[in-house]
Order: sequence, then C-alpha cells, then structure tokens
Amino acid sequence: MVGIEITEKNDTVLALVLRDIPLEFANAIRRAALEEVLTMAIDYVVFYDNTTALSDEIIAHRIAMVPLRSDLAIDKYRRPEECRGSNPPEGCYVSLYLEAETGPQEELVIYSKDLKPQEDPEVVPVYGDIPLIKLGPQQRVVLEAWARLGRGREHIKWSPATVSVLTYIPNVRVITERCNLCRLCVERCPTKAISVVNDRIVVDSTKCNLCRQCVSVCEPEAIELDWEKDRYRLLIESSGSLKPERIFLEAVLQIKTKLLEFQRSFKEVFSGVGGGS
Amino acid sequence: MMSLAEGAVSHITSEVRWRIFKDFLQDVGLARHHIESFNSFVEIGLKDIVSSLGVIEVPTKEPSLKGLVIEFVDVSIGTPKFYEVEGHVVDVTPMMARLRNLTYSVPVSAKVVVKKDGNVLYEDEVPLCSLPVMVRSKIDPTSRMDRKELAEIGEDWRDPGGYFIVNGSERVIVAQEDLAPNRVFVEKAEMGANITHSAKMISVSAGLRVPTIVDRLKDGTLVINFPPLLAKVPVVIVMKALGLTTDKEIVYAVSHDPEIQQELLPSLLQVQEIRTRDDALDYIGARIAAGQVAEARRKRAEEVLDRYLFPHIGTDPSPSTRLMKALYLGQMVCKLIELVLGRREPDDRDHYGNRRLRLAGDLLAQLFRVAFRQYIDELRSALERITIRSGRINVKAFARPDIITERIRHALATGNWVGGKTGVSQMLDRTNWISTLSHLRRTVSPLSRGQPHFEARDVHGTQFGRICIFETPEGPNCGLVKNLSLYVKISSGVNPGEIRSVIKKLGVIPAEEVYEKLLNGDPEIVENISSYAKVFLNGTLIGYYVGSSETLAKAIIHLRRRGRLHPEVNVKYIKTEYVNEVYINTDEGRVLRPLIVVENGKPKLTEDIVSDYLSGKITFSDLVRKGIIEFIDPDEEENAYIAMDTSDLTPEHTHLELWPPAIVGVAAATIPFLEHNQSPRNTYQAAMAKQALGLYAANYNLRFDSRAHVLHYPQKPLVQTRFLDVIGYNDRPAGQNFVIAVLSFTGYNMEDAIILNKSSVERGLARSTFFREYSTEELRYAGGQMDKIEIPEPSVRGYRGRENYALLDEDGIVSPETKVSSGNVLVGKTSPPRFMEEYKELGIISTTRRDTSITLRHGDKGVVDTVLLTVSADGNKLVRVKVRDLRIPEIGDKFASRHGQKGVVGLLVPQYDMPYTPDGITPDVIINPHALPSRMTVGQLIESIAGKVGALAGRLVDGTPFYGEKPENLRMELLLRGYPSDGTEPMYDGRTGELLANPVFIGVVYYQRLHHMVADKMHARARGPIQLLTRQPTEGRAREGGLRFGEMERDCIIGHGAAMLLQERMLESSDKVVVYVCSDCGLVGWFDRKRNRYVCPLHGDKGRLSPVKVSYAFKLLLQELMSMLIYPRLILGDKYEAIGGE
Repeated sequence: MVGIEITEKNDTVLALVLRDIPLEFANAIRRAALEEVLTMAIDYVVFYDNTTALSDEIIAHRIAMVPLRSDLAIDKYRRPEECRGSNPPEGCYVSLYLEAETGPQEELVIYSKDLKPQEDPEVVPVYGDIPLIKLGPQQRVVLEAWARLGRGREHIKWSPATVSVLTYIPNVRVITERCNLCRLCVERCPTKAISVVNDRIVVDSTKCNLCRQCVSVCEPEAIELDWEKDRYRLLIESSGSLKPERIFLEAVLQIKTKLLEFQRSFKEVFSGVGGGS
Repeated sequence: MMSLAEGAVSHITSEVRWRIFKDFLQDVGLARHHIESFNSFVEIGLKDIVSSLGVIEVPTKEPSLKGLVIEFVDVSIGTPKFYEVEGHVVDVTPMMARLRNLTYSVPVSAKVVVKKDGNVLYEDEVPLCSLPVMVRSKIDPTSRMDRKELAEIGEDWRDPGGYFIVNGSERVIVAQEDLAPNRVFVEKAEMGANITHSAKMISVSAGLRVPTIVDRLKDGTLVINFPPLLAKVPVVIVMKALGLTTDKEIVYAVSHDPEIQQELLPSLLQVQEIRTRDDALDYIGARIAAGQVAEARRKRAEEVLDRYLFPHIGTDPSPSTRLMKALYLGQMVCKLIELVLGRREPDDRDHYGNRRLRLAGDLLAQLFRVAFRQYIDELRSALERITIRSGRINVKAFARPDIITERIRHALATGNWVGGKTGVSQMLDRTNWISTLSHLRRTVSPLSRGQPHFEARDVHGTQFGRICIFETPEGPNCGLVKNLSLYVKISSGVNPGEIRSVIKKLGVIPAEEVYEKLLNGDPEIVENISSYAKVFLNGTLIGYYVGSSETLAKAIIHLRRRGRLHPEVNVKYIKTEYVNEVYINTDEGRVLRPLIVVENGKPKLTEDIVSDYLSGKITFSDLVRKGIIEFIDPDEEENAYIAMDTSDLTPEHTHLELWPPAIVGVAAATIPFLEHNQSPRNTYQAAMAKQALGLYAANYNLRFDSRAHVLHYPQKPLVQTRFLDVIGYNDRPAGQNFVIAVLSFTGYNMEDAIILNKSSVERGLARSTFFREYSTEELRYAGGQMDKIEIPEPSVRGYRGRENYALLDEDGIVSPETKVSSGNVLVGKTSPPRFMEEYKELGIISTTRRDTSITLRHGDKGVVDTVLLTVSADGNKLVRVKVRDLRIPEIGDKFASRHGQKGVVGLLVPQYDMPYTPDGITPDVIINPHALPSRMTVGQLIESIAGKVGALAGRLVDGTPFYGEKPENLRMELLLRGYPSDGTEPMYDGRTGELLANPVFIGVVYYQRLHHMVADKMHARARGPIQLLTRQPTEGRAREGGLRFGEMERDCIIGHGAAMLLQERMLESSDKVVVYVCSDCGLVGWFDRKRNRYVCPLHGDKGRLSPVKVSYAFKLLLQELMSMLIYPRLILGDKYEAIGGE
C-alpha cells in the first residue's frame, strides 16, 4: 500500500516521501503537477489604449505570467476542452480590467494589484506587487484581460507548480575494510553528508543527493552508492495559484480521471468487438 | 634586489592600473578619435584651406575693377540649420534629421576682403557651404547637453557620436590605413628585374600625393621617377636641375662617407655630357614637354620640379627650397646606398610605425580642398563675365555654396571619395551596441582583396596594444579590415615648428649649414661629421646632432615628460655601427598607446601620486602632463622595454604596461576568460557579437531604422569583464544568462544544434521584436504632375485588388496596431504615367495613373507600430511606417555563447520533460558535449562555473582576461555553497524520473540570440512568378522564387537515367514552350491566326512546320544568335524513326 510521509509543508512548499510506489507512477504525479492540473491564467487581452513604451504583445505576455488565485475557480469554470473555438460558451472566461494614466511630469509603475477583477472577485492576482508596466509622463494604458482555465501542457503560464521534483532516497555504504581514511570524500562532499567519527567514515544519507563526488574521488573504491527501491521524495513548489497540497491532490485526481476515461473507452471498444460479454 | 623592487611597486595594484585605464577610456571615449579629428578639421584645417586657396585676382576687363583682389580670410561656422523649401530656416536636431531624411549640417561662411594694391577696400561675408556635422563634435550642440536635455530631443545619452547624418542615414567615415607619407622606405628589388634596390616614398602636401621612387639599376646607376615624368631620369640630372651643378656638390648632398660616395661614380660618369643646370632642365624638359621650344621646355621642367618633386618640402621656386629638395633626394640616395652596402636592413612596410590612419577630419579636408578649388574657379569665371558700373563687387551674389555642399554630401552619401576610393563612408551598423562601437573603431587597408598580401594580413608585433588581435573578418578581408584596441589614441598632429626651435636649443645644427660647411671644407665639420647623428623630423633630414642619437632622443623625451613638448611628439633613435639617427614624429594618424613611465626600474607612478589620484586630487590628464603616463607610437616603442606587470620590473625597463587586457578591441572585450580559449574561437565571437540582438539604442522607439531587432528582456552578463561597464554594454546588453546543461539528451542537439526549454521560451526567454521600416514620398514631376497618397481607384494600372487596400484609412495610410501580412498595402499611392505619350495618345489627359503603393514584403507579417507623417528635404509629403513582428524563438533560430560556440535550435522540450537537478532546476539550453573537445573553448566551461557562482551568490563575477577571478577560487566557492566543485550535478530524466547515469555539467552561461532567424529565411514554392525574358521561375525568397535545380542535381538525375524526371524538372516545371520549326530551313516559325496557318519566316505558308517542345531560353538563344547574323538551323527528324534505327 502506498504510504505518504510529509517532511515539509507550508504555503508554497510541500515535501513528501512516497513509499511503496513504482517510479513510473511517482513520476506521473510529478509531471501531472506541472502539466495536468487546471489553473486560471490570462489568455486574451483587449487593448483599448496603449501609449506606453511597451508594445501590446509584451504587456499581454507580462500579465499572462501573473499567477491568479485558482482554488475556487477550478470547480467554478468550464474546462479548456469545452472552451475551444471562436465562440466559447458562458462560464469559460472571466475578465480583469486595467486602466492607468500619467500626467505631464509623472511616472508610474503598474503592479499586478492594479489588475481589477470585473465579475469574479475570487479570480485575482495572487501577489499584488509584481511590476507590470512602467509609465513615463503622459502615457496611458487601458486594457481588459480575459482569464480561463488551462493546463501547463498548453502553456506554462497555467502550470501551478514552479518546481516539481522527484528524487531518489540514497543509500550510501562505506566499505570500512577498503577505506584508507584519506578523507578526500569528506572534503569533496558538497552537502557535508560525510564526516569522520572515531576514525571511521560516517555518511548521513538524508543529506546525500547522489552527486557521486565521493565515489569519483575514492581511490580504494570504498564507497558504494545505492538508492532505496520504490521510495521517493517528491517536492512541489507552488506558483501561488493553488496550495501545494492541492496541486498534489489535483495531480492525482487528473491521473485518476484520465485512467477512468481510458477505462471507459477501453470498455467501449471491448464491448464493440466482443459483442457485449 | 627583487624584494626592493617589489616594495617600491606594491602600491601599483591591478585595481589602481584599472582605475587609471578606465579614466583614460572614459576621458577619451570610444569614438573620440573621429571627433578629435573632425574638431581639428573644423578649427584649423578648414581655415587653412580657405585662406591658402582663397585668393582671386579679379580677371575682369572692366577698367574700374582692374587690380582688385578678393581674399578669403576667415571662416565662421553656424549651428545646425535646415532651410525649408518655403524659405524659413529651422534649427535641426539629430533626431529630426534622421526622421525627415535631412542632412545634419551647419552653414559655413567666409569673411572676404576686397583689396586693391594691398589696401583693404571693404569686407563681405560669403556663404561657403553647408557642412555635415559629426554628431557629438564640437560644432554639434548635443555635445554640450546633459542626459536630460539629450533625452528631450530624442537622443540616446550613451550614443558615442562620431558619425554624420546625411539624407537621414547615419554614415561613418571608416579610418583608412595608409603608408606613412614623406618617409623613405628602402627595399631590395625582386630577382630578375633590371633593378637591384629601390627607395620609395610618398610625398604628401595639401591634398597632393606624389609617389616618388629612386631605383638603383644593375649597372650601379641611380634613376628617379615621379608622376609627371614619363620615364625614369638619372638622379644626378635632377640634382643638377635643382642647382647642384658640380660633382662635389652632388656627392656631398648624399654623404660625406667616401665609401658611399664611391657608389655614386657610375651615376656621375653616365651623365658627364650634361654639365650645367640648363642642360639638366633641357634633359628633363624633353621628357615632359617634348616638341616645344627650348625655353618653354626648361620652364616646364622647372615648374614640374618645383611643384611635383617633394611638394611636402615646399612648392615655391626659391633656390633655398630647391636646395632642401636636393638634400632630401641626397638622403634618399644615401639610405639606398647604405642598403646596397649592407649597412642597414630593408624597411618593413608592415611595421605599424610606418602606417598612418586617415580619419574623418583628414579625409574631409581632402574632399573640401577639391571642392573649394572648384568653388573658387567658378567664382573667378563668374567674376570674369561681370560688367559693373559701380566699383563695388557683391561677392555674395556670385558665390555658389551648393558646389561644396553637394560635393561633400554626395561623397558622404555614396562613400565615393576623391581619388577614386570607394566605401569610405558606410552606413553605421546599428544591429546592437557592440556592432555600432566596433564600426566606429574599424580601420580598412586599401590593399586589394584579390591578391594574397600575406605579410600585410599577418599580425605584426608592433600592432600589440593598437589593433585587436582577435577582431578581424574571416575570408577575403581577413587582416585587411582591422579594429582598434581599447588602448588606442590616435595622434591628431602637432605643428612641427614648435619642435624645430626646441631642437635647435639642444644643439642640432641645421642640415643646410652642415652641407655648406662640408662644401667649404670647414675642418671642424669634416673632422667630426662621421660621429654626428642625423636628425629627421617627420621623415625629412633637418640637421645633425653633435653626439649620440640616443642622447638627443632621451633629451627630447625628457623635455616632453616635463611638459615642455606636446605629449604627442614621439622620438625614435637608431644606433648601429653605421647608422646613427634620430627620428622625431609629430604628424597625425599615428596610433599611440598610454604606458606608465619607468625610470631606474621604478615606475614614476609613486605611492603619493597614486593616493592623490585615488582621492581625486589629480586626473588622468595630470598624469600625462607630469610625464607619469606617456603616449608612445610604434616607432618610439622600438626603443622601449616594457614590463607586462610590476613583478617583471628590472632596472632596464623603461615602461610598465598600463592595463594589458586592453590590447583587445570592443567586440573581443565581451569575452570573459578569453585567455582560456583557443584563439580562433575569440575571433568567431568577435564577429558574432555584432550579430546579437539586444538594446541597440535607448531611443529605438523613436527611430526609424530600415530594419532593427530589440530583445525583450536583455540582461547584463553575470560573468563580466571590467570593460563592459565602461563601453556601455551593461546599459545596452545583447543577451541573457541561460542555465545550460552539457548533455546528449534526445539527439536533437547533434552537430551544434541546441535544445531549448519550451517553458522557458513561453516565459519570455530570448524573445525579440523585429522592426522594419517602409516609406514613401509624394514626389513632384516635371509638368506639374505629382504622386498622390490615397486609396487607389480600381481603374489605376497595376491595381492590386480591393482586399489588399482594405486596411487603409481614408488618407491612404494604415493606422497603427493594424495586423498586416504579405501583400497588404501599407501606403496607397498613385503616380502619373511614366511616359507623356501614354495619355497624349487619346488627346485627353487620361486617368491611367500607375499604382505605386507600398506593400508589406513577401514573407513578412506583423503589426503596424508607428506611422510618421512629415515633410522631406524637398518639401514633399513623406510617410514612414514602422511594422513590428514578435519573434518567439523557434526551431532553426540561431544562438551563440560568448566563446564562438554557435548553434541552431533543434528541439523545444517542455519543462516537465526536461532533465532536472535535485533542486528542481531545469536547464534553458542543452548543448552537446561534442561541441567542446575539438574546439577547446575552456573559457565557456569556466564561465559556466563562474555564472553558477554568480547566480548562487547574487553577485557579478569578474572574468576580465588575465585579471579575472581565479577558477580555483570559483570552484571552492561553489563547493562551499553546496554544489560539487567541478560544476556537475546529479540529474533526473524528466520523462521517466530516472536518475541519469552520470552527473551533468550544468551552469549559467551568457547566450546571445543572433539575427539569423528561420522566420526570415523559410521559403518554399509550388507555382509562382516567372521572369519575363526567359520564362523561368524567378530567383530568391523576396521574389517568391523557385529553388534552383542546378547542374549537379541534373547530373545526378542523368546518372540515374531518369529521363522523364529530368524533362519534368527542366521543361515542364520550368520554361517549356512549343515552337513550330520549318523542316526545310530549320528556323522557328509561327501560327498566323488570321489565316489559320503556320508560317515559316523564309518559306511563308509553303513551309513544312512541325511542333517542337523546347526550353524558352533555348528559343531565346536562337534569336540572339540570329541577331548576331548567325543562322541557327534545327534539323528535324522523326521521333520514332530515330529509335527504330537502321
């Protein structure tokens, strides 16, 4: 049975140790966190006025990079599959509005907090202090930005995770008989996982990241590196649009949905061929 | 002893040397050589030319005006102005000139005085020309503006200036490398010729260039040749013609040394029959003015000698000038004979001391002189025609300033200079900041590209610190096009009169005096002259010094260091068994470099001075004034012994290198850890730095460059060289810091391809915008006709179809932020018919105007960025449209690191598939490990580690060549920050989650996006336009052309025997045509539709014509042959009969 152990958890970071899980499955979750989980992001920008130094394309790209709160939006808005085409149905898009102008001697920096939600106050920039545009004197920008749900696979702006990493859990063994206590491995270990205690090389495997510096430097080949089977560390860092644990859950959920879908279509095919047995 | 020396120099740290060099560079600026040169032209050269050539004796027959003389005495220069067509005058700014296609120029006028019999009658102010202004020169008001003022008129405050704005385009006058004038070069002649040795020199004076050659023939005689002479003339005859009639006089003009005098014997014997000066003039006259009376011949010969022989000495016909010329010729002969006798080595023409750079001021002076002569001639002939009642001439009314204005403007606009030089002025390269600076610091050698000239292309030892050893193009221009080092200062020329008087005080006896005393047998001179040192000033012998050449040279240098002489005066001495000479240089165009003066093994840069300097009490120019730092030309460097570093100093050293890394130029200055690279890689990077996209000018939004790229998020490099701040690269960078992994990942990075992280690209990595300008002018034609900018009516000729004009506003111009694609009209314009007959045909003025609209280029797309409506210089309506296109990196786009490692994108991989480190870092770029071993760009590996340290520590790392941070320290720092010291990290495959078998080298490297993009090159065609003449498909992407099926491809198809495919390629899909050939005469006939018959040109409708399938180009060939009176016959045969055979 899969076991999960939380090693770190806060608003943006979630570190887990997954037990009794095959690599393929663990990696599927890691990837799903990046590419499958739905979030809100700005996808369409209408410019009413722009006399800033930046062109429309640059501004649109900049606002698209702003993470939007998506925890409630995921369940509220339609999924991207339903929103294709030139005439998407109701419940796909939600708009934000930006308007700013400077006087003759004025300069102004527009931040993400200046993107005002129009109809849904829940879809707002997660961080308000992301600088978007700098206005010089007598410049003006008015735009309407439309956000929708999407997946990281389509464009990375929809990816809720900035970091999603699956690593092995190392198992370092020092063969004491071979060790000549030259201590080169101690010097070379960047994570300070190796130390000398009572004239013996001691390794703290939790600090090791399998960089293999010690192995390459050990002349008597006294260090053996290995890792545990079916045990992995998973680290997810959130962009802020979703809580990291939500990302993890959604990732699993997305895999489940996909599998269910697969199961359904498999059944369809099977019933079609076999004639309903 | 070593410790003593070290104690004395410990205050000269590399930081101190850098500080001083940095101040020098900021003080001098990167285009200052051009600006200084132009300033000196405006302040001195211009006045000199005008006052020396501007004298007119009024040639009128009007008695009241007899004896009037008009003299140009002074020049005054205004501020940049433009004369509008309507008549009023406006002040122009550089940006205005760029936008309105104007010339940024100032009015120049001269003060003339009209004299009669030497008495000034009255004065007048006469316009001379409108002189193009060098941006940021003294006469440009922008040179006195601060940052804010510059911003207000739309200028980039960082812009170095040094270029002109002519008809709206920025033009640089590229420095022309030339052989040093007025100096004698001796060389051994090639084997086999009738000549054994020769002495060559180019005499240059006031725009006149006279190459003069003295040859020693196999029989030991000496002959001279210079342009007006049609054949070689014995040297002795020229000497006699100059007034040295006796053999003794001639011999002593050459040398006092009997052994050298001996060598003159054959020459003297050869011309024994010519005794007097008149005989000699006769001899020369017969060779230039044959067939004239003796008197005229002699006069002509005198004239030629006065004007064309060594004009740099003087052109007046006085006996003293002639004597000087004879002595100069004598020295030339002397040097030649010394070479013959093995007393000296042949001169090295590639020695950089023998080269001069001709800069903007010099070249403009040359141009102005020619133009001003023409102006004066025109003025004179205009005055000839006048008949005036009153005695007062209104000079202003006869002056034609447009002669000079047009001449200069035309030369600057086309690059065609007087003397047949082309490419002198070039369009300023605005690809990026580095390319602009590099262009301003470029030098061109006039040697032809066709010939090998291996010696001239090689790096010469004397180029050290003057010419960048890396930055030169590959291919035909290699070594001929060069770039200045950062060290360089170009001499702008010192008046040699100053040095003459100083030398006299040091005990130099004038050459004429010595010569006279020699002739008179003055015992003092005769006795001691062999120990005297010859003193040359700018190549001309001016006297003898009683004593060693070294003593005099040191004395002069001493005076210069004490501030008694101009810092640009340089001295070289030669002391060998036979040669004892001092050469003093004061001329312009010498390439100087600053060095720290060392005396008795101790730098003059003492501890006190260093602390004064660092506290700001004294400046760089004070250091120069005090003789602590001096500028050395390549000649003087021959006598110097320069320590590279303080630790190398010994008592023998004369100088200490100021800042050794400054031997590189601007482009190579971008390379960090350059000393770790294989040298050609640095050359490649120096070339690629000029193709990188970045922020080419801070005012790019205002500018209308014909094409421009701007990188969206340029970053300053994490790994710096100290130069980057000073040359402004950190303010206008051209690249981004990429996380790169060296890994053979999917195979899509083979052969120098690179794999980009798709997610990074989506986040904005290496994004850029491409701008292209389209412009048109509403021209006026003769007869009141004019262009009209409007939406063309469907009735105009060449109408492009309604949909293509759909984007135009009512005024016929697209509006900003409109999406446009190929073929869309940006500016609708109609022009009157090309030929008058077209509408006269019907007797009424028809409406068949032509469509001359501006359309978006084939293959382009984008958004209209800016539309500018203005008035051109001719008062016409001018429309300029800037179209922008977003360029997101895609497969096939070109990237390069700063180490000559270029590659195109082979694949875009999303973040979740990319390999990752345990920290969750995914690389932006994956390069292939095979790119490294053979190229040995170790600098890139060090940069990678340094960049990683910089990213982790949040600081910039110094990678200055030779003085950067030590790689060992960087590796140690990396280890302390928790990463393996060798720059590797364990990585996992993003696709499977498996740990990669080996740790991967990953770090941060500064990457440049180069302007070669698939979007500009991608092209394919199925059907499309054909050429009118040959009916073959057009060529090139811009014309939607076909892809050539060349002869090698054809050979291949023949080799396979695929005849049908061959025919399809060469005929069916190209220029197939069916012609009717008469089987009786073999000529091509035609089909007469009226009579419904085939007609032969010879047999008429009696001919037997058969259809033949040929290439249209072949039909054309037949007709061209016929036009040359050749009768080509096609012999027809039956297709199937031929196959059946026998």
